[in-house]
Amino acid sequence: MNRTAPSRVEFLQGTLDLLILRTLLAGPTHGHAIAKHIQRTSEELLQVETGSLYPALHRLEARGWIAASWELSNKGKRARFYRLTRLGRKQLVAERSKWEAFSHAMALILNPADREIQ
Amino acid sequence: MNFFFRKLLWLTQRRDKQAELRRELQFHLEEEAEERQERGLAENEARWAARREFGNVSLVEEATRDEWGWTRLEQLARDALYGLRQLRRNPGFSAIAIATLALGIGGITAMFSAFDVVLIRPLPYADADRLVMIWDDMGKTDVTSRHQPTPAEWIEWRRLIHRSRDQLYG
Repeated sequence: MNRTAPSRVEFLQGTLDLLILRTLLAGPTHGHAIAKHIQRTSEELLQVETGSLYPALHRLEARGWIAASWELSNKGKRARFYRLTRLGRKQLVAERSKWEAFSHAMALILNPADREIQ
Repeated sequence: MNFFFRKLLWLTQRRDKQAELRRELQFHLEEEAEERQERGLAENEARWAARREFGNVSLVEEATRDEWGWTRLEQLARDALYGLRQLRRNPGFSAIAIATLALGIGGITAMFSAFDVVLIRPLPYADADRLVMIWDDMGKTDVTSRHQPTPAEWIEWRRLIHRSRDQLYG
């Protein structure tokens, strides 16, 4: 398969919420660390803009999927830490299976085309 | 605590949350600058680079604040306030508009109330369609000669009515 690696991938609607929830599964952390984690883990393909990160965090907090509190960062500074709530865990499971079904469906449609080309 | 109550609570804490958000974004900037400094940038440069990457701080703040409240509801309230200001600026026009509406609504309400009672709502007792009016007729032809019966007459008529019922309704 001949794939050209894009330098950066656009976020699909709603995927940022899922990525935030997944990132927080590893433990509570602050906004900056969440952004960096998504960036690093996606091998820099996903760039989280602050203009969508913080609205997303506060939206998830409003929905009760994550909860925030001020804690000391590992450098000893006060930061707003987010942690996954029980409701958020449930949401993560639901969103994740939805995403997996979607990407499975996409693969089913895209892959036969690859074989035809080969 | 659900979505609605959390947002209601946030509405009361708006000023605190505003300061908190500012601190949160400030922390993000500092963290980003420190990270760049660790990678070898000078302090000043690192701070500027962090700022550049962050984008417009007040825009981020605004987008985040939008998630706290009822943006649509707030817009509606603003529109209503704007309308009120316009009314106050032009009192003559407002008075005429309000009077027109008041008369229109009042007139329609009065008409419908009468219509409802007279034509739609059934009378509040059984067999309303068998209702009759009974009066005492002094003259033979003149309508004004009709009189309402006295209680004694009424009682006597009621005794007789059992016999004349068929004639009355026949």
